[in-house]
Amino acid sequence: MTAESLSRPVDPLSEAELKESSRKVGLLAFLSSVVMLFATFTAAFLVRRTGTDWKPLEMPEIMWISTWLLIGSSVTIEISRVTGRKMGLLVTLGLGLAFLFCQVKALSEMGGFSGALAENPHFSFIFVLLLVHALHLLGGIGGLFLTSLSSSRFGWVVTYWHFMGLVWIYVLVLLFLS
Amino acid sequence: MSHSHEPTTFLSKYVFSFDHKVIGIQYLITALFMAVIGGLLALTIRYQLAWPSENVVSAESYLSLVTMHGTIMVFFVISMGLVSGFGNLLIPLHVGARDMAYPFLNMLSYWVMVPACLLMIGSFFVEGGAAAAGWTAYPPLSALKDAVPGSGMGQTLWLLAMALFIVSFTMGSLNYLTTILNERTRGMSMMKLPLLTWTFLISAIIGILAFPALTAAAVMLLFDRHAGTSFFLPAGMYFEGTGVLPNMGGTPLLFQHLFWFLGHPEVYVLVLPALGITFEIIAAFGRRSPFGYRTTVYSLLCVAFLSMIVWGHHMFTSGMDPRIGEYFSIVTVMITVPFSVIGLNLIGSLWQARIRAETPMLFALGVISAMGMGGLGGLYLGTATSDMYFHDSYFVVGHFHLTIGTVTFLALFGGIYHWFPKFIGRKTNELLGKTHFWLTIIPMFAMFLLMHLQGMGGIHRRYYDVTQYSYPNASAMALMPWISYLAFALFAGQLVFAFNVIWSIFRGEKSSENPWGATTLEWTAPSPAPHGNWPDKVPVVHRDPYDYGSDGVWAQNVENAEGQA
Amino acid sequence: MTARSHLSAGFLALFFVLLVIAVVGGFGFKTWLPPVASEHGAVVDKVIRYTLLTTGLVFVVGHLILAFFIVKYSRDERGTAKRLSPGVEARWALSVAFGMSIIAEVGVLVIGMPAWAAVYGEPSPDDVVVEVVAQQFGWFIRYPGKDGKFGACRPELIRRGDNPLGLDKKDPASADDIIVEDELRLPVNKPARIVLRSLDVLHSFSVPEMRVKQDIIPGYTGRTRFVPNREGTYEIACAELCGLGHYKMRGLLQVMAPQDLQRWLSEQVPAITYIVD
Repeated sequence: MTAESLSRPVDPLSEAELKESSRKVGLLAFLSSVVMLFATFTAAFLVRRTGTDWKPLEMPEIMWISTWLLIGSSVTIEISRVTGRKMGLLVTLGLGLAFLFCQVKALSEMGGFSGALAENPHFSFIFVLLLVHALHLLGGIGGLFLTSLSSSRFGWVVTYWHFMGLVWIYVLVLLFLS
Repeated sequence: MSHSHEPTTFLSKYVFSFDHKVIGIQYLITALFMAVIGGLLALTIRYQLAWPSENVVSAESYLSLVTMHGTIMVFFVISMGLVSGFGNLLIPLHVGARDMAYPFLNMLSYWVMVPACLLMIGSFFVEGGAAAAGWTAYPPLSALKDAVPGSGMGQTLWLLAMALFIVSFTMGSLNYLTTILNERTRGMSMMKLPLLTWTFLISAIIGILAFPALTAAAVMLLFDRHAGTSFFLPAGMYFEGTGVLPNMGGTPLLFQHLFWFLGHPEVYVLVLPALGITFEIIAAFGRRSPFGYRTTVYSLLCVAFLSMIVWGHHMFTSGMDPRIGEYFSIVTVMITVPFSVIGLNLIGSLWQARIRAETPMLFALGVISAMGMGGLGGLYLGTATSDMYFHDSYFVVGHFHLTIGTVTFLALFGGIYHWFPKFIGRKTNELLGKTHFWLTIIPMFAMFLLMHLQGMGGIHRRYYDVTQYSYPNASAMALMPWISYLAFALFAGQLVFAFNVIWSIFRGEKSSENPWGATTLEWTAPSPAPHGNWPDKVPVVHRDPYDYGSDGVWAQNVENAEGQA
Repeated sequence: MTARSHLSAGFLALFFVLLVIAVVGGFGFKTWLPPVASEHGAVVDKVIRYTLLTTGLVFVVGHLILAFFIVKYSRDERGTAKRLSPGVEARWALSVAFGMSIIAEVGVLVIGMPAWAAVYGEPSPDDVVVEVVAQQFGWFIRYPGKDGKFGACRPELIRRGDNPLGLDKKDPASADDIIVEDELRLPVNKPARIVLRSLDVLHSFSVPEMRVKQDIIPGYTGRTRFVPNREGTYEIACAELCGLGHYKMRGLLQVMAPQDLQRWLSEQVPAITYIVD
């Protein structure tokens, strides 16, 4: 948003331009809400980590695979956007689903919903953060699906997808490398 | 600019409507319905408090009543009525747009709110009763069935309902923000926005940034409750019957921090739009531009910023680091600065005004008084040293009922009377309106001021039976039944409002486009405003929002002879 | 403008004037606070009196101006809708805001800070140390005995009948610990440091006459500190919602002459003797 758009001087935007720019504003606002959500979990994590019962866990190997899958999906969605081919969205969607599969696998390897979740606070955080991130990513997958069906432009989904990739890398660093 | 075709079927017109005005009215009706429930809960609480020996409810139900009264009133009445209701009704009209930026999302947000309401109400009927850990839902009490029966199924439903509420409210906030920033008509610069729309913008920003903290807290609390994790649950909790619980070193204080990181800004999400409505009414019925438009806008921004860094004043006695407590105390009372500016501007707006004391104006003037008293009462609580005495006493109860209860309800009523002609096309009855005003303000002020005195006398809040103790001041104790009588009178007085509204919908005097001679853009649309708001072109803005001169009044879209003013 | 509107304005102004009289009468001419019985409590009361005076003044002036404006400017043709320049308006607003912030910060920092520091400041070695353990819905009071040390407590050892705090017999410091229910006894005019623990949920240790209120967090050891300066019996209340019996979680605090307290302590049997193996 520029100073010009804030002062809204003379010529109004065309309806399509207005829709596009509203979409950007709305998306930006929504993403800031997502940032605050993860910031809250971060604060909780940093506080909880100082507890005497904290037993840090190693990052499971499979999370490297899921990370590369998500990075790959960002590349394919970008190619799709530049070339304008919607086929790329379905590839991205596939990679996204593969990512979610790996995440589920990682969690079940680490102990799943059984005792480990309750017994190790680090794992509680891993579980919750992966879950919250996965739910947000599912929204993106839904968006990919709808966008690939519709004849309209790419809209919010590209930015959102890249953003969810960044959030995942942030979560990974927070959980295992900080 | 074209707009979508007018809906024709009953379902698309009145139920799953995309029209911001229909959605606004849906929200308002739902909020008023929830207010009746919240009010009945309050009456039961008051009965128990005044005549504890009659045991009209059990201790268990009493705590559920207290919890649900708070939750319903804060989130499902005031947030929903003032912010979602009036926000939807007025934002597009104020900025000169045909509808919200995302009409579908808007419809969705209402239909997410409905199941949230149903879950909240439904939680009364599950095993163990509704949530009973207070509207603040502090763990461990809210996490363990062993601690209080309401923390069983009732608390789970409470958390799910709150999650839906947050989803819905966030969708609404995104719509407000985008519409206000991006869908303004030609000439509508930010500094020409009506003050009410500014307050909606700021409450949307606060909502978007603060609600995620509660979401995160609710997710972790759900895990603590159902997956045995220990985010908030410490080691070594012992309950008779179950013995020592297996939880490990969680921190109950963390939840309080997360809760109040939302909880305090939420206060301003409610109060700021109430003040915005007050500014609109005072301008229209004082026929004078509000004193200090710009300082008001900057103060609102300042309040929004400060609201995010002062949450700890709810926790002075919680056991957090006392140095942090002192920090929170210092910044908390700094909120005095923007609020003094707003208060002075409200009173200053009456100077050299030409007041017509009709029903909406009476309510608006009531808001000024209530806000003054509420704000000043806040100083006793924001000062950490005196809060050591007042915390969790009736002083607190009186204080927040004056601010987020009285201020908001008076504004809600004032707003309904003020904009009723615009959205219904008829005026409400003036005599009934004034009667309602007096039947509302007298018991409300009296009740909540007397609660301050009880708090001074040392009576603690959330007590099923206050007569268990002998230390409180005897006169403070003697006030209990009187406050209850006032509460019953207040509730009964609302029948006048209900009758007035229903009668006026069918029989009220027909209203013109601009019955109050107001200047903002909604008054340039027909009454009631049609789908798309303006039958032909959207208005173009040439003037400040409140152009009341000594020789005339000009709506925002009136062209100025010498070009832009 | 109708005559009726004018009448409404007059009624409202009258209402505000009556409100001023009622509030000044209610808050100003009656002492509602329970009589104070602690050293820092006197300062707490001073903060409250200071706030009553300053906010009272602002309240009275504000409401009288409000009432005056309502009457004056609701008459025909009195108002001119005249506006000051934005700069002048801002200056008015800012000077009032500045004054109010001074009033508020004086209360917090100048008057209030010493009391806050007294309660939360560094403990002194002369403090009388007593542990208060809260649980649903009562209080346990533990004195450390002659050794001045509290024995270790383990939740898994808790047994309602004979070992309510889970006192560990193996810890030598446990040997002379004294545990009583619901009655806290403190010597007059000596700083008391109350160590606070909870066995289950949040509670809050509140003694209104002492102007003390401190939440108790399970899993943590908190403290509060005050100097009771008037002998007598006071009530301890729980101030943080803790469950069904929250309203009757009543304890007693007896402030007594130091020698009386010593005599009483010497008559008590150590808690450890009650524990059945």
